[in-house]
Amino acid sequence: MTQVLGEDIESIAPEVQGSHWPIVLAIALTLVLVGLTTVLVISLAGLALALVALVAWVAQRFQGPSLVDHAPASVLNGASQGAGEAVFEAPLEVFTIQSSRWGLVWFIASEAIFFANLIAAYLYLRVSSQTWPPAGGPHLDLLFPSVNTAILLLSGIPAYYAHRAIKRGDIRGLRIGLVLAALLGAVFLVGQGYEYLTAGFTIRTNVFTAAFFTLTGFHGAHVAAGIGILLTVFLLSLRGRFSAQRNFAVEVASTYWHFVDIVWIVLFTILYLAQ
Amino acid sequence: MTGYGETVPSLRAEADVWTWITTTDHKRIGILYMVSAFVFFLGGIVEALLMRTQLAVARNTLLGPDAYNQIFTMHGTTMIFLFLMPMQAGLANYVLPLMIGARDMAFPRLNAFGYWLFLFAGLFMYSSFLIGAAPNAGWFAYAPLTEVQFSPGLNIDFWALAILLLGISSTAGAINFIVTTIGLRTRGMSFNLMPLFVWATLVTSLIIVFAMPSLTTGVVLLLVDRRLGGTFFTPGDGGDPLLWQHLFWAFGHPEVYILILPAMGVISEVLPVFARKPIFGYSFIAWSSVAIGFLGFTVWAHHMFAVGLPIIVQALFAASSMIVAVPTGVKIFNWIATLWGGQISLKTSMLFAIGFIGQFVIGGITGVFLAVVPFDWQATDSYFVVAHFHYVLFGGALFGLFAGLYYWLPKFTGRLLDERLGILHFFLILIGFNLTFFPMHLLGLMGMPRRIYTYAPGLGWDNLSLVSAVGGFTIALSVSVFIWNFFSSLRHGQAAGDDPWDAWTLEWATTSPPPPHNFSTVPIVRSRRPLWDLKHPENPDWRTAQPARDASVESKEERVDAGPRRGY
Ligand SMILES: [Cu+2]
Repeated sequence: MTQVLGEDIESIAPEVQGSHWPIVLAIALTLVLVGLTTVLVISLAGLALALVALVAWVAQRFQGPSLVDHAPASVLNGASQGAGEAVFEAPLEVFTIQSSRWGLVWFIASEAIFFANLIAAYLYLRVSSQTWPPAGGPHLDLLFPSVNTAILLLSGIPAYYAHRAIKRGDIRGLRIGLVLAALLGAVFLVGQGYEYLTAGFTIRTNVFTAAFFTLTGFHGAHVAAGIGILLTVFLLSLRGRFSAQRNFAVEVASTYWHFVDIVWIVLFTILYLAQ
Repeated sequence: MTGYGETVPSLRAEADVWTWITTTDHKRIGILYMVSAFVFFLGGIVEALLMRTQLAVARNTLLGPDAYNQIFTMHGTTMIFLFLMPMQAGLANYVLPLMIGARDMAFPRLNAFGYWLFLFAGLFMYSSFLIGAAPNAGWFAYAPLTEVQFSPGLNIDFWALAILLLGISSTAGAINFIVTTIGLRTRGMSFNLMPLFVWATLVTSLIIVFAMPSLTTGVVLLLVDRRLGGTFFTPGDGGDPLLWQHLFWAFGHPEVYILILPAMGVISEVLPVFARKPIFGYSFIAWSSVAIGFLGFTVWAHHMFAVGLPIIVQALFAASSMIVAVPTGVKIFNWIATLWGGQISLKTSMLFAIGFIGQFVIGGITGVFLAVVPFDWQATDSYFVVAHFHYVLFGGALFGLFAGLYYWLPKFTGRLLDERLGILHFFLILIGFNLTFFPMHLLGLMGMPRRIYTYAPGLGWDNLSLVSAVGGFTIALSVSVFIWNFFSSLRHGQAAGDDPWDAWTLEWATTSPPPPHNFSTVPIVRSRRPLWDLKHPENPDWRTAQPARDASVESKEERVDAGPRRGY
């Protein structure tokens, strides 16, 4: 009876593999909290452990032979329909990548909604205040941050180029693009650090400065994370992990990087241009 | 022989610690979620009993004011973040991939990560008891009370930091459910053929992704205020305590639907099976979930009627709050229509499902009362509100969960629960629940504020408070009956077999418990009751009862459907 209604999938259904990196990452993040309520050293240890766990998590995905390179194009395309049947026709890794693409979309969506809430909170405070910025509030200089903004936006080009390159199978172009994007991002971060140090106000000055540091600080943390992703992908590329068919990690890095760029455009507009 | 599964050794045969720690199997993660959440549930019950005992008589001295603050804060936070949400995540984790005929969740490692993060965040929050500094500002942690000048201890830091992690955990879980539902449905299962529990989980997950960032934002700003000297919620420097309330309730009201929709999904599975009829109005139930999810984002300020918002704003939020009752009513009518004329079999699961409808309707009606602004001004922060949301979250969400547990535990353990103990559990909890919470309506209308640690005698509150305490202990007794039933079923329970309820969804097509890869063959779905089709080849649903396919329902899905049909 079952043979009429179903097909044998054992051949494409490998055993469920365990991993201890999820629990290690969860422990690491918890240690960060424990440190914040006890001694800060524990938080730093937690951060370091989290970094290790994240890299190992990614690396685990790249173990074993690639199925994609051997999969017929029809399977790859079929899987991208996203629903139902393709799941069992495609090799495991293929539908994992299709799912991962959806996962990336929703991950970025949740980040975008977080920033939207931060921005909404800022606008709420601004609209409900009699004077803005509040008493003692600074007027932000525009020239330096504009240059810095240009640098960050410029970095989107090599990130885009890197993804284009690997889709042609150009591994050298990929590496150059990744490194350039990461470098420009690092210049942006240094510039932001310089701006913080020379700002002449602190997070305690008033609610505007608190919002300024919170919004730009969270964005800066995302730039740093983006640089981390770009460099991780660069390291993987040195080990020859990517090809014209197999480059989802590059897609993640470049998509995330563009997202961070776009957030900055919004933040720059509301914090600097529309003072 | 009716299924897609095979015989496997039971889970207990391979209970070695390292496999559980490193597991990425959705079934094991589901069990871990459910067991951990249940332990937190017991903690929440102990806290509730402490409160009810403290208030059982006037001027009681069991708990001082600070201890009482910590206890009610941890009770609310536990029941919402450490019990209901992870319990539902666990249930969906186990059942959803089976229901859609998938091997596992889309991101098995992310799934495990979400579980461990929830567990450690919960333990972290509870560790605050060790230094006597448990969170103490209520589960909604209103600023500026939570600012460092009014709450200088670590209490609020524990709360805020743990909430951050729990937000990450539930968002990770929600994204996983969304992607799994979008991408891993088996052959032929279009959105229009998905089980209603899957619909409910999908909508719940979408709400989590959209609502959780509001809470995260609030908590981040609170931590900036507390730790770095910010002034977001401090009036004077341009900050505004109302900002916290807006951020919190922009999360907090959708959260109500995060808690109730999975229970509604369970009910939509249980009622038809035990009424021996297909669900009535499938599309209405599915799309009313979507409507509830959407409207749930437009009503948050009904929690803030007492803070002096402009009257026109209050009127708008009152109106939207009443409108959200409409899709809820749609569901209830469809459930009743499902029962109507059915051959009803009153198994414990069915009792809880019917109990859900009755209790939830009471909570829904008092919710409409509270949406009426002048009534809310009178009743806000009184025990009436406590009564209202316990009818929704206990009589609703918890009854729904128990209906789901009695329904699916035989699938998880391979053993049937004892029906007599189940019925005892149901009636004890039904009586205990109403004894505890019905008097609170009256207490609230008589002016008893919530969150007071004691009261003077002679206010007319004594007797009702005592009844409420008796009810609380009755609930605790009923839960211990359940625990007894569960453990004795593991040892002496009757073997469940693949499909003890003669049900119609795919999780019953494999063994109990299912093998690690769930199905040995790819399930093929051509109707909303694939297992009915399998059991009744002479009279399958897809021949007699084609679901209505109006153009509005995903014409794209038609094509997806068409593929698997080739060859028939
Ligand atoms: Cu509400």
